[in-house]
Amino acid sequence: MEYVKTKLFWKTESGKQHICCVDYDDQQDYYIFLRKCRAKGYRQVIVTSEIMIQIIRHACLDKGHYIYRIEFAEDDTDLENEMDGILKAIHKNPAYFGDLLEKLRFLAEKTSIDLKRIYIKEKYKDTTPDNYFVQSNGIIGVNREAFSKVCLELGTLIERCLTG
Amino acid sequence: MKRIFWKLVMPVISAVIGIAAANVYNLFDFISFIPKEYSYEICMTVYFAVADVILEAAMEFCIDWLTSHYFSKIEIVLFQPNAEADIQIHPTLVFNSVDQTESGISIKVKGYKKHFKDTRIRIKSPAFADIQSNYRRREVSVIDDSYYISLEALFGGNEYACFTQKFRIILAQIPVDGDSIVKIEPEIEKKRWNVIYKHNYVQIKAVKK
Repeated sequence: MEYVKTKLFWKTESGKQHICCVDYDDQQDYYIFLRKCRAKGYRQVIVTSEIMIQIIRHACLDKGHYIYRIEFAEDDTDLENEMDGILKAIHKNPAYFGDLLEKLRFLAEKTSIDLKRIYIKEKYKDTTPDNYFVQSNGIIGVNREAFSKVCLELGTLIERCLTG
Repeated sequence: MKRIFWKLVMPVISAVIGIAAANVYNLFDFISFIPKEYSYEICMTVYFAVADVILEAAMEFCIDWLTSHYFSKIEIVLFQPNAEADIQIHPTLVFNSVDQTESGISIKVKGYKKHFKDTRIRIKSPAFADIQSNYRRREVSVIDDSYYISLEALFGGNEYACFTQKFRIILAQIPVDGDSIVKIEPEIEKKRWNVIYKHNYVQIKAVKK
């Protein structure tokens, strides 16, 4: 799957802070990209586990999308296997979604930076379905067709999670 | 300094009280097996010790009373999220595989809302990191490179309160040219003289990127 990528940043304009997207290309060095953005006055957005849970809730409950993969910041094979099991179970029976939220909330109580990346996909439809990932460092990868729509939605949702 | 002053002054006052009391009433004159020529010295020694204990207890009572009526106490502890908040410990935070680290903030307050009017806690991020809260909270704001908690807002509608509240800050590293270590400590803006403030600090370590 080829994703178009962007990174979320805080930008202060006329005394107000808001989240904006800066396009990021895999070909360029991430740290050089980050330095350039900082020099322009951008501040990184961190997508914490608590925010990831809200993104998952929004994607699954409001949009009817599904989560097909969750990656963690620290290697933990048992946890990854357990999570894969829950995600497969949800695919067969959506009632297991409660188990996923319960598990993620339990993990978020211990640390807010454990969820590294979540992959989300729209269920089958005639046109190209939305397919995207959200990374804890604020990088979002979206299929070209849904890029603008998904970036706008996620930016708004994350801003609401952080500022109300 | 005040403590040293009191430690020097207290025995003098105790001695004066002891001598004065011994001159007024010598209890040991009435104890038959104590020789008359020694009774005054013994009385003075005992009165001196008793005066010392009473003075110390009175001092403690006065300090406690003044503290609870005219002072407020606040203790801010930065801690690693998986550990207990302990003011004696100064943790070192390191960035993980995705260049992020986090710290818990425990705020223990005992005192009056009016003592914290318009005051807020400020935690300034190091030059090599961006700072953010884990999720929105009414009392929290992040402005540029600083994280703020409004202390007045923590009281809600109470004029006097005793509570502990916990928060979390997240830091994301910015590339640095060399390994760095920085001490971060919480400060209280517009702190009043009658607020007794204790805190610890964390050290944040960044590696060259």
